[in-house]
Amino acid sequence: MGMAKTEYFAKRIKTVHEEEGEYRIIEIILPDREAEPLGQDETLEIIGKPHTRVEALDILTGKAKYTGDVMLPGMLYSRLLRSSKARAKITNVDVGKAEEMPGVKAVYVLPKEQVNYQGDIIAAVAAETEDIAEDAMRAIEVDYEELNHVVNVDMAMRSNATQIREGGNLSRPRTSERGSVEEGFSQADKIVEAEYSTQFELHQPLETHGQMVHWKDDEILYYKTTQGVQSARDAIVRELRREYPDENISSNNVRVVTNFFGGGFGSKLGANNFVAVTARLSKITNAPVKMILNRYEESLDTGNRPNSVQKYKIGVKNDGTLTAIELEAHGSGGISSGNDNLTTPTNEMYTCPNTRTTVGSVYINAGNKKPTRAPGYPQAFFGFECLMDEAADAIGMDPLELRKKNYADKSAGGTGRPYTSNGLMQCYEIGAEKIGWSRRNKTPGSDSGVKKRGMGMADLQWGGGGYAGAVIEVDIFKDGTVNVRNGSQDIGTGTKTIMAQVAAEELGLEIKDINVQIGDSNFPPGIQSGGSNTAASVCPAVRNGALEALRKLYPIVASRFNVDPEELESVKGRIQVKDKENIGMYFKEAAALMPENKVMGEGRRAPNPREYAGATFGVHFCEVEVDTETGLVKVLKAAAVHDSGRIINPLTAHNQVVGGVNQAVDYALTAERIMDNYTGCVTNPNLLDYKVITAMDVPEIDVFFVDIVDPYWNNLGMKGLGEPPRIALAAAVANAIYNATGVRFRDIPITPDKILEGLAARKEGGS
Amino acid sequence: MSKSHQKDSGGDNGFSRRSFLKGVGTGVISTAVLPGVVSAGKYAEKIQSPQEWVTSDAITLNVNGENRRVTVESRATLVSVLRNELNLTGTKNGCGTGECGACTVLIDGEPAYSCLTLAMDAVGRKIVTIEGLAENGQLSPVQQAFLEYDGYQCGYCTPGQIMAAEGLLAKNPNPSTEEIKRGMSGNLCRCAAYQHIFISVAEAAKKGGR
Repeated sequence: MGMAKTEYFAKRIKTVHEEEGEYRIIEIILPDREAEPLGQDETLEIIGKPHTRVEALDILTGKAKYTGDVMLPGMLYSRLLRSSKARAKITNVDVGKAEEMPGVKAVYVLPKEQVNYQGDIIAAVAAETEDIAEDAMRAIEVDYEELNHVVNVDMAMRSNATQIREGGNLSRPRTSERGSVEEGFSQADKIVEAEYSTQFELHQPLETHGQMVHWKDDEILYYKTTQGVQSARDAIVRELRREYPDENISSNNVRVVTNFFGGGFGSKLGANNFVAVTARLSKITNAPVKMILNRYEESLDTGNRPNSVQKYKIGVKNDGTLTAIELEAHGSGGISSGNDNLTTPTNEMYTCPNTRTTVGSVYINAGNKKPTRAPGYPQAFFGFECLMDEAADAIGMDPLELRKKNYADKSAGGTGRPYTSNGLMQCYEIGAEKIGWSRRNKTPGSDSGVKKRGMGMADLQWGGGGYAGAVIEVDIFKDGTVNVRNGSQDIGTGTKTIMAQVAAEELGLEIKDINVQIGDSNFPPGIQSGGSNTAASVCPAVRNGALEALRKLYPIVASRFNVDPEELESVKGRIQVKDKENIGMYFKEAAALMPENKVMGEGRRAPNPREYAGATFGVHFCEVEVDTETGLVKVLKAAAVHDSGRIINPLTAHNQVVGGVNQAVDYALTAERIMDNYTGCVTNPNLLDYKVITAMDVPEIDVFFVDIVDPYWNNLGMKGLGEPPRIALAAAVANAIYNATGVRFRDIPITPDKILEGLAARKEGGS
Repeated sequence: MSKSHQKDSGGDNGFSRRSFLKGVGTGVISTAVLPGVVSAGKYAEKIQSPQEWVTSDAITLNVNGENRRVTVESRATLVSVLRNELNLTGTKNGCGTGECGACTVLIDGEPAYSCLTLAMDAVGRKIVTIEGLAENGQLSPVQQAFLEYDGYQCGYCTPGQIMAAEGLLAKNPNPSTEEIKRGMSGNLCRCAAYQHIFISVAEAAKKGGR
């Protein structure tokens, strides 16, 4: 290791690191040796073929232990008492009755003078059973002195609004400009202006947030619902050090484990606001403490997708050339600072030299925002891709043609670095054919009858090509079996499976020979599962790790046959001289000859190329049916076509797209967190009134991947796929509703009341 | 499956499923249900210690063909007993209020939300959980189809989905796509892998269902 370390230190470089739209400079270590890139025409045995999930048996038989399923001897159950007020001073918390209850082991009141949203944590209890913990939580008496609250974004922006925080309800807007929009608009034949708005969305994973914490003498162990075992570990260390300055709390004695994970969609990134309080209860009681949120808490205090209001102005020539785009937008992250990135479609999606964006954020008394599957993008692409539809209308052009006309082969709207690959043109062709684009109403609203059908489309773009930073340890044991270890985690997308595929391919073995171990913060440096980055970050490093392990095994075989180790390859369970099957031995035989009980290969991923920009692309088409009497919209069919580079596992990739499209259906039509202005409370903190898509609502979905292996981005030519399928469909649905009815709906979710109102307004002569 | 009792409040929103169940469980405490919004303090004044009026009893549950003796409180839900007393954690608790279906088990062959079923009401009935499907390591046709057609993503709703599918196919061995959708509509999949779930159920039916 010492040698390797010195060598690695010589090969550190600085690179730009992108995560969820944030850019920062980081220093990374280059891989020792980089595997040859696998090109478009490479013949592969396992990569690119459908494979069922490696953990399937555990999941399908109920053996899989999710965080809440972990039981430790002597463990206690915890409940949190949460504020019922949107904004109030806490004048007294009486825990007397709770503490006296038999079976209650600890009651802790957070040092908090004020609560700032319904659901803000006030106190925590630990007790012998779930029910006793609940009883004790309910027996705590809180005296509030209510303060004025604001939970409505428009109201928060008014000049006479109650200012709910120091510094006011509004953050200073951020403006960015490219070229000159004034000049651009002067060149336009048509200028279209429109305002769009999107709702607050809740993640609502079926597994609620939670953790089991055991503060032992030598280790603080967290079983935790997290999308980043190591980023959570780091956040926990920081937070516990703040709370316990005199204790020994460090990276080497805080351990976070996530064996199985029941959905997060961004809400389980980071460490959440309850990490410390459970640890405190464990310390007080000297026992493991389990704290699993209920659905009510999940709905109030685990994050949300910010709302948005987007005012656009776009200039277009009669031939479809975009001349300028201007965006003025704001959204709210609740009580937390910051807002989502709403500028990508304006600045990146199409060739346009002149853009200006101004984005501000608004504070209200509601739970914090959290990254939500493609943070910012479903909002922004809803607005922008509807705007494109309106621009096409204004110049009498097919909306698909307008997009093709403005295809960008370079980033920054055609002004930046060239993309490593951009398969949008192929996506358009496939999608249009699959949905039957030529069948759509040439005149919007011309479909006769009570139920009107229409078609719409929308583009999408996302980063998600992964980045350097993960280190994969590939162990080959003396019996020929293999462990692949990394401190990433599988959030349900099939990360473990594709890691096994890549390792098996590289080692010339079968998937059953590979044991992928992830989900433990003590494992080698991993990636947090966010931004569609995990797959394309870890898989290229798995290849390098496997090669590194083989390089330690090859000399043993080479000496037997008197050949150079560089001449060897490992294919179909054999280590042999390249293309000479007769000179070599079985992999297992070679492993058995190892002097030590295993060899370890350490694999890193090369940084993304600097001279190119990388992005995933796609287009969603859909057909809807609008019942003009009831206002109900049914998405009948969707065609989702994606350029995500090489697809490692078509089975799980298909599933990923299906899920994203389905989720976008409820975003477009039904799902919205609704708050009551008067009480400041969420009116639908449950899965009955917060309307997610159900089995009865799903469209028929055709999923396609364009067959493009990215030539430069990483050694597998792969890109991400988690967020892309969530981005475009809401706009496609709104555009299809316009095509069906001739009425524009610019505010999602497009619920039946809005449909009926819009149709009625058109009858009266407006639009 | 019933979708009534949907309100589950955190601290003090008065009427809650839990307090409702307490009432049902003991049979006499209907006054414990306080309609309207009251504060935690008032709630606590009314019921000094809920444990005083919650009774415990030893009961026998027939789970996956085995009789299991457990001592439970009258208010204990089946999902809580399965998970916390019998360590059968394959059955998940996604909402606790009959909205999501993650806790679906078979009771006398019918899919039921175990979060809306009192453990005491399950006495004398045959309960099958996800752990009881595979025989000698051999997956049931439904489990096998979910495996092959990737009928899940994160897998959290999956035990419930599988139990619902088992119940559906027991009643209707050859369901149409529409019947599959309807049969599975009491179970949410937030990863929204629905099309993969439907095809899994359809393929299981082709292979003889259960």
